[in-house]
Amino acid sequence: MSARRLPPVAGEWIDRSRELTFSFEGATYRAFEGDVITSALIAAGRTMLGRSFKYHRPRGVFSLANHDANVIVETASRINIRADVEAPVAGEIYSAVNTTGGLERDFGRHLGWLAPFLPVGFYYKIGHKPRRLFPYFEKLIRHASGLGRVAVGQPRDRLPFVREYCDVLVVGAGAAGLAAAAALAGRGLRVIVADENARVGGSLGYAQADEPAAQAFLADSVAALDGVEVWTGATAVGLYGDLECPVVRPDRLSAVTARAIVIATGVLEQPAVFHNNDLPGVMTTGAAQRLVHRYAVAPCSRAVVLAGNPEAYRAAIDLKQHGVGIEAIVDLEDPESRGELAGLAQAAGLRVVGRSFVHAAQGRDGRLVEVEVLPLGASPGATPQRLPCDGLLVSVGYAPAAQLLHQLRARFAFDAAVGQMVPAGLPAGLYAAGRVNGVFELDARIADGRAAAAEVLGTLGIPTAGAPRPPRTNVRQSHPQPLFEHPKRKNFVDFDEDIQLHDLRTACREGFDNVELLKRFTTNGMGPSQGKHSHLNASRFLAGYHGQTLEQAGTPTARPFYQPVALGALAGRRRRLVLETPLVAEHEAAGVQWMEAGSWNRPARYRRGAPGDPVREEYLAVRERVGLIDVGTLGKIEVFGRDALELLNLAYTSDQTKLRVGMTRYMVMTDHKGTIADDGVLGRFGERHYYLTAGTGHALATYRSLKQLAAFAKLDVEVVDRTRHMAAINVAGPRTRELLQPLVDIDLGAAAFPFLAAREAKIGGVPARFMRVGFVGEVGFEIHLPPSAAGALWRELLTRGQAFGICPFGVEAQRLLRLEKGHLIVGQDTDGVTHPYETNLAWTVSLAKPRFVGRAALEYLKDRATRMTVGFTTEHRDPRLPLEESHLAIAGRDIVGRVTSVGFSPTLDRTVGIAMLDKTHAALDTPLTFRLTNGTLVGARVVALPFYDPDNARQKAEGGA
Amino acid sequence: MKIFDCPIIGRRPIGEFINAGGGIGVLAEDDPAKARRAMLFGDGTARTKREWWYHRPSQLWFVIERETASDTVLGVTLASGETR
Repeated sequence: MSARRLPPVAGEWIDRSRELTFSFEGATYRAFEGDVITSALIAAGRTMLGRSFKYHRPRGVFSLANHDANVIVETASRINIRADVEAPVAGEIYSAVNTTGGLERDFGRHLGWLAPFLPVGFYYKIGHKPRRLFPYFEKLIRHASGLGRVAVGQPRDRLPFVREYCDVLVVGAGAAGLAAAAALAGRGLRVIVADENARVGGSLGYAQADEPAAQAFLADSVAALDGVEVWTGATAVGLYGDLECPVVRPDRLSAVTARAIVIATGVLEQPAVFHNNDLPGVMTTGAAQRLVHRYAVAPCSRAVVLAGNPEAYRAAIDLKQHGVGIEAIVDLEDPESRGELAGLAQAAGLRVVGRSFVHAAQGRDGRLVEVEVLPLGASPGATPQRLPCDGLLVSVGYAPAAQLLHQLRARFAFDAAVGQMVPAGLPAGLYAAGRVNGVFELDARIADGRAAAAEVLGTLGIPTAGAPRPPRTNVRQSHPQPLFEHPKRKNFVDFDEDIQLHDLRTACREGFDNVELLKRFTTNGMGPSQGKHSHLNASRFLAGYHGQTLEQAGTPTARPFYQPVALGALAGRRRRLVLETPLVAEHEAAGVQWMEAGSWNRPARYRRGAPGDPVREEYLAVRERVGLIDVGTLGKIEVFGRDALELLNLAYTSDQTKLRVGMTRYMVMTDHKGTIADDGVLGRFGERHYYLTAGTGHALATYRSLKQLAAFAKLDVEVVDRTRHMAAINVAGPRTRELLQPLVDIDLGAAAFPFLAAREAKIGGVPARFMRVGFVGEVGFEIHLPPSAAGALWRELLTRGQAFGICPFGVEAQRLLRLEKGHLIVGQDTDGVTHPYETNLAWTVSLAKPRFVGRAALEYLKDRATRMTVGFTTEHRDPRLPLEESHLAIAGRDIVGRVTSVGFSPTLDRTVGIAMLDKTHAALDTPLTFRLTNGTLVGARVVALPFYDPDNARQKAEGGA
Repeated sequence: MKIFDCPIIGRRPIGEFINAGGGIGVLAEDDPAKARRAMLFGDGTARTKREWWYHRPSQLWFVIERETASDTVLGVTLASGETR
């Protein structure tokens, strides 16, 4: 038996037949299945479990309510594990976060003397004055801030994201939540109950574990949950519009959209603020009772109970019955005001010290040894009564766990009888029940849950006998001001961030008189528990300082997420639609290496693993012989009807009026601000019939724009997206005609099919569209044909092409080929503000057209370009020069541009590229300096585009067939 | 709004729609200077606005009257030229 493990306790969560071991801070510990890490460590007799964030003070368990930031641990692969939530994994090695040299010897504990030099708000005060010291403080702060170390190399732990739709979601499975769920069961509704704990029952399982009525209700209501989905270990972390509630579960993130939501989240026990209130051994009575009833662990052997509400008495009696020695109850009020509880305590043999407060807790070796008690109103120098103890159990009141309600802008009002903020106006479909609603007695909580269920049924239009709401409690549950000054300070309001009472006072004195400003200046409530134990006391202090009510002082805005959520849970599984062209099998057969392009998989290159430089060989095939590339990923849009020409003139910058049937032309689309959005080739196949291509990643947006423009201008035109109806293959190179002519039923000769012409013809008996394009700078035909025929044509071309030295080429070779021709890639050579006058595409803009998208902006920008995309070559001829896209052009101390495309041109035998440069550096022959990743500077020079065949002699070539 | 109860195509997740706003309206402006002002200094106040919404799965354009302060849709029409 471990040091503090109790004999079996009725209803305990642990399974004593299943034992495991794990390591924490270098020592081995035993745990039972059902333990959390914290409970197993406490069971073994440990008290210090962590170090505080700023001063590295020893900390132990405080709330054990799923937000105990005192005890955050990590493993080699996972960070920020909440030790009061997670079960220990057998054989796992845990360590505390935020220590240097281990928990016991933590070097950071010596930092306490620095406290006077790190006043609240020091980030804003010291860091930047004098300015030369800023780098020092920056380094210090960066080292000290944050908890845990990210294990970059570890496998990623992604949870699936699942949408769920239900009729009613009940958050919290305590008395009120279970009562509501049981009342909603059996009516054909989909009802989900989500509770963040491992088991249902809420406080019935620890605060009322020995009350027969509570246990009978628990058993009955669970039995009545027929058809209700009960999710445990499921944290509702946010509440969004349309009643959408993300619930983090052990194996998924469920985004639940409900028609009605019942919030029965209960309350959060709050700390009292006194000197050394953070010593290991000081904890809430709830934490003590959870240790006893869930995990059968004694929180301490000799306890003092600090009472600010009736619950303290019940807890003291309960704990004593389970063998925890109670030295005394220190009541902040007159024990007589506790009614029958005072008598029960007396009957149980408990000593009560009334109208007194804990002035200080004193520790030795990082653990509590005694508390100093003074009568209320005692003079500062009074000699305290010293009570020896190893546990100080605090029950001074609650904050409603109302964060989810706040997120949907519920209104709250202070109920003086309860001593708590209570809902005073909830949005449609949202209901609150139980202690979060200010209802405390067991019968009332059950009635409140049932009443909420009746209201839900009314909202859903299901006939039901109404159930009235019970009255809220008339016994005050929270002490109004459990904050006690001490000359030596160290009276902590926020344990996560080590914020003390005097820090709040400093902030108030400095004028941060609003709860939001107070929070940001002090960082109170900005730690891992997000103010769950500190916002209320800070608001109380602020209200007291300014003579306001708690309602006037307010509480900081609650935002998602209610509890910490792992990024892996938010990221979801990386499941995206990846599109493939009909030529996948052909590419695979050629040893393709894939790359992502928009939503598509495209061949980057072929002959994976072959020796030599496959991209260079693909390139050479196109320049010297013939190559073919799958361009089926291009957007393909059919435009026809009476107003087809008008639509194209509206959508694109150039004037298409003079485009003859049977011809194509290159076009640029801008947005209303004149930014280049897309480019493509337009072919005219009939008087009122056009067919155009759009960029691989932009096809859907271009189609959408065309449809919107047609509707806006009320044009008589049809726009059809044929992107996936058509395959497309580009065959290019000097021997293209020789290869294609025998397969095609029209004359491909230059006279009959000139550069930029478009024809419909049959290839291998299949009807297809041919467009003579020049993207790669050689004679080339883009062939658009039905997908069913694409594979056979590709294979036929490869077979016949062997005689000509054919080679399929991928995107890498294509990009190099087009770079030599100076063709821009929209989105690579252009950015989010590039307009045509910053590029060599100004010729496409026809301001003579009275109306087109972007015209107003382009008219203005025409003579105001401040940058230019230009060509450059480097001084070096090293083919391995590591100059890459986005490397910067430097002039003196200034950045004057960046590389947008770069590659080694085999034809020119040097590195060539395109750069976006300030106009001052864009003139021909301007010397340039680029900075490589490693800091090396590389000389270059602005040259004219294109690099290759400036007269287009090759792509217009008459030779060939 | 997470679900848009469209009178024409029924209840659909809002994520299926692209709200393109009313920017296309500048095309109707004949004075380029006025068009640029409308484009760059658009009215950001919360009020009833006319917006173009594109429904991706059905590829339909809608013109929506929406009270942006309360995120309430007041009127829905298919954009001209669209057919159900």
